[in-house]
Amino acid sequence: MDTQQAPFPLINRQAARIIQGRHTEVLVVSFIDKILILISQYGKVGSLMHTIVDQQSLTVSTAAGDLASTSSSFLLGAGSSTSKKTQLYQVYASHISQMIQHQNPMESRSVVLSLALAIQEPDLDRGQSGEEEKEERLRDRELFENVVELVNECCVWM
Amino acid sequence: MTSTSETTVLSNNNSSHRDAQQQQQGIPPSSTGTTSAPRFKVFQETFMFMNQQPVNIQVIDMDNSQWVWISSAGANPLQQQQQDALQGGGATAGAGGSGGAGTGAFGDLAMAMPAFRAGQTPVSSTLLGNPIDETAAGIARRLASKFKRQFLVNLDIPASVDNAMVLAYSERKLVDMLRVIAETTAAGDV
Repeated sequence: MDTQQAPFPLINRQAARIIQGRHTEVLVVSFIDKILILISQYGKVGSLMHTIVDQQSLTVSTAAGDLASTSSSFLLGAGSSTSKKTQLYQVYASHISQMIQHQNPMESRSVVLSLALAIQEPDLDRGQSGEEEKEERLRDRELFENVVELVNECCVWM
Repeated sequence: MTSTSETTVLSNNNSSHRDAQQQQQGIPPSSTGTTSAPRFKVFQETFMFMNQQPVNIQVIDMDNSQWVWISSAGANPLQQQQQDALQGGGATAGAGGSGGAGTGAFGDLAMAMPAFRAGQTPVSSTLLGNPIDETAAGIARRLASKFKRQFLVNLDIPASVDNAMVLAYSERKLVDMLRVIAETTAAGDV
């Protein structure tokens, strides 16, 4: 038996919770050059995005708390640019990367993010009442906050 | 060639599909925030190629899909230097020194989906990395064909003449590992 065997080179952290009646799972894998974050309400990989923090935007003010600027590109499952899901996913991607940068200003790894969330597209033909819109926004907000909390439970960047 | 296998199952939730369905239907929204047991299972193994070169494989087992990472330390001397430098500098820079930075590189990422109709070749695509290098996409395609499910493959072994044998060995070991996982998870689901 080789007693000096190196530990496995990847670090994984997992967490899950029920969000709006759905089992929502987060798995974060720490590589030396990237952070992989899998977020799923369907048990599968959904849309994949690669987000880089613009290193040139990192200044004294970002170190003090301003948000760094990020750029995301879809690797898989881009969807239409006008779809709610696509736009929301871009918000998730930039927020998560900015959050990581804020929590650890020395973190330079880019993030590969997989998102598979139950987000309902608004029915544009039918239109929405003000009440429905408000409810939808609250639901989206609740989902967002819970997902971000789950990601924080799987921190590999501090 | 001996293989030193330490299969580490990092999470093991054996809830059946029926339970999962009931869970999705019967839970009131007010339970938002309740902790739930993770269902993604992570399997890790290290094999020794030619008794000296470690090949690391991680498999994330999801619903009818798997995410695979294959790496061989020392397969790319340039990368090894980079890793050593990052690890050495990481402590002073504070970038994940003790906070949980892995030491394996992400490598190329490719995805493959099984064919819709029997007899057709699965489609595969390189998502991240050198688009000219089709190695990861090829592995993903063969896996999708064999196991009839979606595969994402992270390959941290650069394609070169020197690495051809390591690559072949890694793929063989990966297939063995996936077969064992399939049996384990099938048995667990009953």
